[in-house]
Amino acid sequence: MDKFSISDIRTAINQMVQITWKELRTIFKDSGVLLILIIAGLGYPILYSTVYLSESVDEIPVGIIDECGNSFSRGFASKIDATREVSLVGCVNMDDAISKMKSRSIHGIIVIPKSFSKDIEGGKQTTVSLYVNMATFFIYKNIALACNYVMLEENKNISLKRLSADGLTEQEALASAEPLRNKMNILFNEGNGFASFFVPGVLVLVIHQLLFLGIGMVSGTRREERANSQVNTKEKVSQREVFRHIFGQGAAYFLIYSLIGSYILILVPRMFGLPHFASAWDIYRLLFPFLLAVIFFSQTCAVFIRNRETGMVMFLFFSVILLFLSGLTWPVSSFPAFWKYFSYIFPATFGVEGYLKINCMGADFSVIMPEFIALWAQAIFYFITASFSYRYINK
Amino acid sequence: MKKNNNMLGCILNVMLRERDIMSSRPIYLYGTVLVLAFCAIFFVSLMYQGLPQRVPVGVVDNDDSYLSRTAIKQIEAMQGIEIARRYNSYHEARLDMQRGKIYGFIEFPQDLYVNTVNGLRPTVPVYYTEAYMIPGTLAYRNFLQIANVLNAGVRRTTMRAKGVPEADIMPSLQPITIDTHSICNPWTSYSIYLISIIWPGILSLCIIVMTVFTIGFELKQKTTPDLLDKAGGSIVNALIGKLLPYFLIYLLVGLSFVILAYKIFGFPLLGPAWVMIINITMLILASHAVGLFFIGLFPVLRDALSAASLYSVIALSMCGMTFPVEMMIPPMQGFAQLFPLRQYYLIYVKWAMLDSGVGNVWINMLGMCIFFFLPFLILKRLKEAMVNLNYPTK
Repeated sequence: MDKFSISDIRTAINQMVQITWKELRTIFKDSGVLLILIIAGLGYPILYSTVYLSESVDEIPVGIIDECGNSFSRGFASKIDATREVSLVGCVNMDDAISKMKSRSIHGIIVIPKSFSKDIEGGKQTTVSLYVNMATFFIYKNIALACNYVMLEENKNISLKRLSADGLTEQEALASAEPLRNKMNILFNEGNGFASFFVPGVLVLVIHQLLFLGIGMVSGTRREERANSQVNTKEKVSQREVFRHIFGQGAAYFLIYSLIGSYILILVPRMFGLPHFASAWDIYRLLFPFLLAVIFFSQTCAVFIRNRETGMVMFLFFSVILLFLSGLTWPVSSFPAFWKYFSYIFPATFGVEGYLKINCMGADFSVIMPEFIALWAQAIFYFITASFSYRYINK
Repeated sequence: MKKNNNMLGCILNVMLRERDIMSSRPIYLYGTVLVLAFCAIFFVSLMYQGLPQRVPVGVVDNDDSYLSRTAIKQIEAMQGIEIARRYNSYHEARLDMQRGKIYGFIEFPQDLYVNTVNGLRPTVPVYYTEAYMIPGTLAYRNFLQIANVLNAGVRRTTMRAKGVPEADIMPSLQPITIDTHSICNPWTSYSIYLISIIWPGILSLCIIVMTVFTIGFELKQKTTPDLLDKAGGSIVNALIGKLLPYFLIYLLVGLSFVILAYKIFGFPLLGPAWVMIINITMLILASHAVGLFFIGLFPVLRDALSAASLYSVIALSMCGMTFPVEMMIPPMQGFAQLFPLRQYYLIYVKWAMLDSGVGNVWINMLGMCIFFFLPFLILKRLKEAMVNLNYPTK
């Protein structure tokens, strides 16, 4: 063993611990940074989960105009009313329904035509009209779902009745009315809940954005103070020391966010009944490279942030962009190639994907190997770029 | 009369001063124009398909019969979904769903054809995911159609064999159909639905943050005495002169959006398009007022900015475009009223989209106007901060 190298490592570790300690003190002495990193880190996930606490959208008021008005059409209407999603509101005529729609006391209109029962009895096809408005996605989706379901059931029943009337046995009638049974199964997010779909992805984005804004604030402040101070505090640093600084400062954020991150990704889903299939160990395995990638990425971007506050002005809107880039709303399969590759820049893309797969879809950790590797690659890449960034800032 | 001239003169002085500030650093151009232009390009190009096309799905064919092969051909002919891969088993397909490669799959069981012919009514299961709501729902809708087509196909063959006249077959297969009219979005385009609110949401976010920044930065740099001096000592003049240039730029950007979206791209509206001009102007004004409120409440740039940021990001969730506010828990329904974007959304949906007339939205317009008065609550506090320069050094 070379004695020299051991003492060298010891100095390096000592220096790094000192840098970490100094960074932690900077963070905890700064109320603005504390607000972003800790208070928002603790509060924001709760706020988001509370917004969508109701999970599902049931009993949406939908207007019904029953022009046919006999027991047959009323039966059809009552079946729609009986669905979990829709609750019918009687409307006298179209004008009445439209005015109710305009005041948003109903969100859709169903019109059963005058010839409804006559058509069906006469063997003609009848058309029920559904008017919906796509202004609120979840309402639109659930109304369409409920009506479709009732229509299919009703069609089957009508066919059965007709065939039985033709003298077929029940079994024969069934085989003729519905030769193939189809069964629609939901895999993952079986309850069709909005929170279970939306909030888990947002939780990962919250970690990404708060760390990014927090680190940007600290490094912006540091640059600002240096620019304002008369004495030149810049010192020549060796490459080794650059690495020590990045590691040392990064470790401070890593320490804080391994705690807050586990609160957000492990505890919050359990508190609010969101999906939580992954074991804590699997989540830590993902969180580790994710935090490294986010921290080094943020340290790299510090090069753009000259003032304490500019980071927030410049990058706040990016939270919305990242939500879309993560593929949570718009499917990645429909991304133009440019935006797909663009999304690979951000750790959030892989963080959200990986987290959703193991925690919401119950995937084995081996399934998210691509994301895991991508996050490590980002961590290494951004570590290198962070050192350039550090050198530029301290030039 | 003289005083009035004086006021205009003061405002002009402050505006000229602001012009110099704005041209001194790129962040002002960035936060007013570049971000919003980028977002517009981003959303339009990302979602140019309107409705996602060719959502990747899977097929598990355990039968490999005439019937299952016909079904696969029918799936291949659909616009909405595309067979990404064929799988040998349910487990393989489910695994690929977890990998995010497909959003749904259909499984043809063994002996499908034989059992169908023998009237045993085999079950054809379809699996789709709600973990990704938009593509999952699209996969569901397309598979449902396939299932119906398939059933109808089998029955049609039987009926033809029995000599049922062709004209009677369709009504008999599907006695009731539902004709869905998607009001103001006949193509059920997700891009129209999303861009209509998300872009104004980002506009509002930028305005709030820039308002806080531009005033807070002066407090921080201790240049507010100069600002008040140029404004003739009046805080109202100072704020009007300072924010008017931003307001005009944002108004220009906002109106370009309205013209682009509702005139050039033709996002459908049943109501008059000029409503959107009023609506976006009110949103811009209300956002400025909210920004002012934040910097007045916390006359320290970093605190105001942090608070304003946390507030403005959540506005997009609170406006009710994806999840209806009416279904949130009551405290959240009240909380939603604290966001100008919520009122913007309601005015847009009710008046512009559904042509409800002013009668149904006056309450929302009033709600929007309440925001305009927020700055008056903090004027005194803000002026004190501007004069006393008690900005914390750290």
